[in-house]
Order: sequence, then structure tokens, then C-alpha cells
Amino acid sequence: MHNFPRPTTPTVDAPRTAVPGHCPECAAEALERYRVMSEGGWWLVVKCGRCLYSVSREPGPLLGAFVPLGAP
Amino acid sequence: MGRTLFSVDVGGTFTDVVMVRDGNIHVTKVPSNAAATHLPVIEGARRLGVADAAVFNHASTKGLNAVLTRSLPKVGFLTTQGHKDMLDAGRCMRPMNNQTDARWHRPFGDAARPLVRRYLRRGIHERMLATGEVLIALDESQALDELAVLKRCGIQGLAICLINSFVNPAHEQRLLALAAEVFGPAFPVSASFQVGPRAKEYPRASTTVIDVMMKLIYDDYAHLLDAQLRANGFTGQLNFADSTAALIPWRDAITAPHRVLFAGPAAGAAACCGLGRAIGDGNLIGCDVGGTSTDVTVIVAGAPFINDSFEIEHDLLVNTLATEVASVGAGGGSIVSVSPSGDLRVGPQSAGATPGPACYGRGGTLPTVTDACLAMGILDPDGFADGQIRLDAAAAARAFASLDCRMSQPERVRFAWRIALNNIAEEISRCALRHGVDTRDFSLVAFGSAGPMLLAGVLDIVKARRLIVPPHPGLFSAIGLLSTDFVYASSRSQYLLLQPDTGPQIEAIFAGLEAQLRERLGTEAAVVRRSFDGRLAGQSWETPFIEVNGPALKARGPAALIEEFHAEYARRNGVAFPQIPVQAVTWRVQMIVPTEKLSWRAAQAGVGRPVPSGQRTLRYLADPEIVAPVYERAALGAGHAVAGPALIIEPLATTLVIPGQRAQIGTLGEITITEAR
Repeated sequence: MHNFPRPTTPTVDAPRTAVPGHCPECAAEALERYRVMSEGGWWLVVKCGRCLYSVSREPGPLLGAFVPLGAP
Repeated sequence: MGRTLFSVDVGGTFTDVVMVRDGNIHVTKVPSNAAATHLPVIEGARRLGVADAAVFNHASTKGLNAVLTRSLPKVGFLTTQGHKDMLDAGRCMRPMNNQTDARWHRPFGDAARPLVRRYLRRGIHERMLATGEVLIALDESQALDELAVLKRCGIQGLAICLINSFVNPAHEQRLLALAAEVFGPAFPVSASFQVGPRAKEYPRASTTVIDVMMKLIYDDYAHLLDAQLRANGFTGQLNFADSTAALIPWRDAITAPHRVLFAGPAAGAAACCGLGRAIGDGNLIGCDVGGTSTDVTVIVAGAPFINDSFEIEHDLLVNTLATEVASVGAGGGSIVSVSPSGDLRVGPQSAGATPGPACYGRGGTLPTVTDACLAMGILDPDGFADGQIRLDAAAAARAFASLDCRMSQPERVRFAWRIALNNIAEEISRCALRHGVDTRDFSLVAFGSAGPMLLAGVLDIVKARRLIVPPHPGLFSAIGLLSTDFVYASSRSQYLLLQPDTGPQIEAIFAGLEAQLRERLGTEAAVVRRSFDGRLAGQSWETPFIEVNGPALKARGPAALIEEFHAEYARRNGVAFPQIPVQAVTWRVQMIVPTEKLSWRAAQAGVGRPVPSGQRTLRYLADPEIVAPVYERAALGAGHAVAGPALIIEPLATTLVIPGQRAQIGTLGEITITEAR
């Protein structure tokens, strides 16, 4: 039987990494890359943290953060 | 001698212009121009001579097409924090056909084609309770931050819809002032308490968004149109038709332009009602067969069904009074294709105006219903659209030959025609069924350019009493704009359980609405019509348009309204629950100012026997081919009758009378087709 660890943080969140450049819509220097769950599954997006404009959007890992036990 | 009246119906393919001078109808059709919609209108007005016109009534599909194709201006949307995705979720209703389809997306949702992209929808820190009390005060500094973001994003207009603003609009009013500070006083903004203070936030929000978009689409257009008409000598009144085809002076119309979105289809219904009054037939089913679709309207006892909102697409709602018009994707441009299982299909895809049917010779290679009619001999290659388009019969034949199926060429054409007829017949039957009427008690009215050539075949399927082809069927919707009155309307929601002591409250609500309308109307005499939308206590859907009889309300108080509600409820649903209390939700007032209308003139009596001007071979209609006489409609007078098969031609339409039918010219020049048996 597997023993899974208990969560150690009160909430979960996707890590965000800063992306250099300006938002083409509102010109803010606040671009970030992170993972979102939306229609059609997980996506890796680059969005403006100020106005939320999506600069780019590409399919992310099929199961998001979950890594199956049998995965290599 | 009457005044000169003008009307125009701007469609996707043609702009139809009608003038009535000295009781005579003059018409012209000008190809529409999507890039400069006003130019064909001005060209049509110039052709017919607009200088002495007293009114110029206008309907257009410009706004509707812009929404359907999402050729929309960039607007921002402000709402209560946590509610910005109501424009994505709608009412969370799926169409019946897609209940189990995992791939289905709401057509206006973020995963498909949203009206306002998500990053342009911003939440505002505030909250108003349903009682009108403030739970969270408006955070003005946060609101200014959000407005600044929208300004940097370059929005062209702004829609504001806060939760419960229909009860207390204070926060929306303050946001309007802040928006004026940030964007300037002339910036187009629509706030939901002004557009329509109605309960239920999603339809109020979608209506507000559509309203600001229509302001951006129609404002410049209306100013330009008025200026150019005046430059051509016009000194009369320019009016826009609303979604029930009622008229509104154009300056009023552009203050709440969501009302004019559905004017084109409503104008067709108004035309049917006008014709019905003139010929003494109040039970009609109007069928407007255009290039892309057939619009069906049921008219009972001289009046169409009016709804309190309409859907542009599934669940994309606009809160405005609108004539009920059902649409099916079967028109002259509907594309004939082969399904994966090998059977023939007609529509709903359309070849549109560009490239159009294959026979137009504008690059279209797919067969359409118009190609079928040409191949069958119903259409004349040289006389289509008053000779403005020459049809290529070889291109139509090639298009049918290119279909990947095992049917012979005659079968392809014949089946395409019959499937198109059945698609229209199915929609007519569905509409009749929905309203509980029997098509055998109704007359079909065939209009739109393709109506007269298709509907004779439908008559046989739906077993209607008769088919009426009105004069000028290709421009009949534009004629409808000369058959309606000016209507000023106002409504607001206020939940009120109808009890004996609520009489003064009800009077105060109606008096407030009437005072608003009086401000716009001035001292002009008008017929006042009061109504409310109510429900049984505990229901969540309202029964709309319960008529309020003023004297009865005064004499008997709310009991009169409760009685009216239960009677209307029983009429619509077949059951009544008089023991359950009634709650009123939305209150409405209409002020109707009668205006000069088109009066149909008696047609000249036919002299002698009708003489055909030629003959045409009709293929695939029956086996063997039929040679049908061709009659000029202008040469037929009242009382003339012809037996099918026959073709009755006029510059902008062709009426087909199939074997076994009889066509007779009526007193106003209308063609009435009945089964001869």
C-alpha cells in the first residue's frame, strides 16, 4: 500500500516565471509564464499579470501537475 | 393625395428601397456594400427621388451581421467582482441537440467566439443587495485602476452591468462618472440601469454589451445617413425600425440601439400583417426566403407573436421586445452537399452573396438551391435580378456533376429541390405546432427573392389553405416598414407580490415609466398600453405581457391584475392555479403614436383571358419534362386565373405554379395559389 505525504501548504498554486518584455495590449512589464486548466485541458500560457491578456498559449502536460506512478 | 413615403431594408446582398408616391409603389434594388453600408441606401434614394419624402423608414441587418460574424468593436466590460465570467457562462443552458456532446462549446463563450475577451472584462469591488442596500461600498480607487487598464488596452466603448443595479443604480451611476473622467464625456458607454433595468443579470449584461457595440456601429452611420439624405434634398423625418418593426426617430434609436438589431426580420412580419389587413385574412404564416435562410413568422388574428427578448445565437440574449421569427438554413444560396453516409443534404451552409451560387459565375463551385432552380428551368438565365446578374447554366450543371455520389444528374437536381422544400416545410410545421395552430387554417405568404419560386411546392406538403405571393415579393420586408406606428416603450423590474394594498405602488411604477416616456414624446397624443410580466409565487420564469386595464385597476385594484394573469396563464399553458399568489416582476408601458401608412391600392381588373408571353421547359419536376406557359405579372389583372404548370415572372421574382395548382390574381394584385382539386 502506498503512503502519500500530507499537503504541507494551505493552498496549492502553479509556479509563475517572469518573462521579459511588455504586454502588447496595456504595455505593462508584467509578463508571466504559467500553467492553466481551461477548456481542452492544460495549457502553458504567457499572460500579462496586469490586464490578463494572453500573449501565447500552447498545450501543456496532459495531466497537469500529476505524474503517474508508472511514468518513466 | 398622400405624402411621399420612403423605406429601406439593408440586407447582406441587396439594399431594397421602396417609395410610395400618390399611392403608387416604386421600388429599386441596389447591391449592398459591406464596407460603406450607407452608400447603397443613398443611391436607392437618389434613383427614386427622395426630395419630397415625408418619412424615410430604415431597417438594417448591419448590426446583426456584425454580431454573427464577430466583426465587432473592442469594448470593455465592468461588473461586480467575481461575476465577470457571466458573459462566458450565459444561463448555463445547452441546446437540446447537444446535451451529451462533450465537444460542444457555447458559441459566445471564451472557448469559442466571445463578444468581449476575458482580459477586457474587469471586476469591480462593490456589492449591492437585492433590497437596494449597499453591502460593499464602491471602491473608487480600484475602479479607477481597472478603467486605467482598459484605457491602456485601447477599448472603443464600455459596458457596465453590476449585480442588482436594477434595484439601486447608485454604483453604476458613479462608475459612469468615473468613466467620463478617464475616457472623456463623449466616450461611448452603456450602463445596464439605462439600457434596461431588468432583473436577471446575464441577459441584462449581454444586452448592455450589445448596446454599446451597436452605438459604435450605428452612431456614425446614422449621422452620415441623415446628412447625406439631406444633401440629396430630403427634409422629412428619418426613422429606424426596432425589433418589432415599430418606428423610432433616429436620434432616439441611437440612444438605445440594441432595440434595432432585429429590425429586418420583424419588418417582414409587419408587411404580412399589413397585407392581411388589406385582404381580410388575419391568419398567416409569413415565409421570407432569402439567400441564406428562410424566416418563418406565425400571425394569428392579424398580430405576430411578440417576445420580451430574443436570442441572436443560442443563449446570446437581448432584452428587447421582438417579433418571434424562426429561422432555418434553407434559402436560394443554401449549398447542396453529400453527407458522410452518402445522402444528399441542403444547407445550412450558404454560398452567400460572395461567391454566391455556382451559376452566378463569381467563382462559386458548389451547387445551391438557385443552381437547382436554374437547372430545372424555373429561372431565366437572362432575366435574373432584373437582368443585373446573368446566370451560367453550364456552371450550375458542372457544380451538380461534381458531387461525389452515385445518383444521376436529374436525381441530384430533383432531390436537392425537394429537400430544400421539405426543410422549409418542416420549419413551418414546427412553428405552427409550437403555437398550437393548424396550418390548414392559415395562408402562407411567400416573399423574399426566392420565396415565390419555392413555396408553391411547400403548399402541397404543409397543407396550408393557400399561398399568397404579394406584389413586389422581393422587397416585401421594406414595404413592411410603411405599415407600422411610432412606439415609445419603457420597462423596469420590481418584484412585487400582488396583494390588495399594493395598488398605490403599482400606480406609482406605471406613472414613473409614463413620465419618462412623456419627456421624450412631448405633448403628442398617444395610445398608452400598460402591461407586466408576472409569475406564480415560487416560479423562476415569467409569463410576459399581461395587459393592464387602467380603469379596472383603478376600480378593483390588484385583483384585476391577478385575474388577468390567471386568464393569460391558462390561455398559454392550458392550466390555471388561482390559489397561488401572483408576483409581478417587470412592468412595461408603451406609448403608440399612429402614423401614416401604406394603403394598398386596388389592382386593375384583368381584361380578357391571360395571354402567355412565352413558354419554358420545366425539367425534373415531373417525368417527362413539362412545357409551362410564362406570364408577365404586370400583364395580369385582378380576377385573372392561370392553371399550373405555369411561371409568372416579374423583374425581381419568379412565381412557380406547379401542376395541379391554380393561381388567381386578387383585388390588390396579389397572386393566390390553391390546389385545383
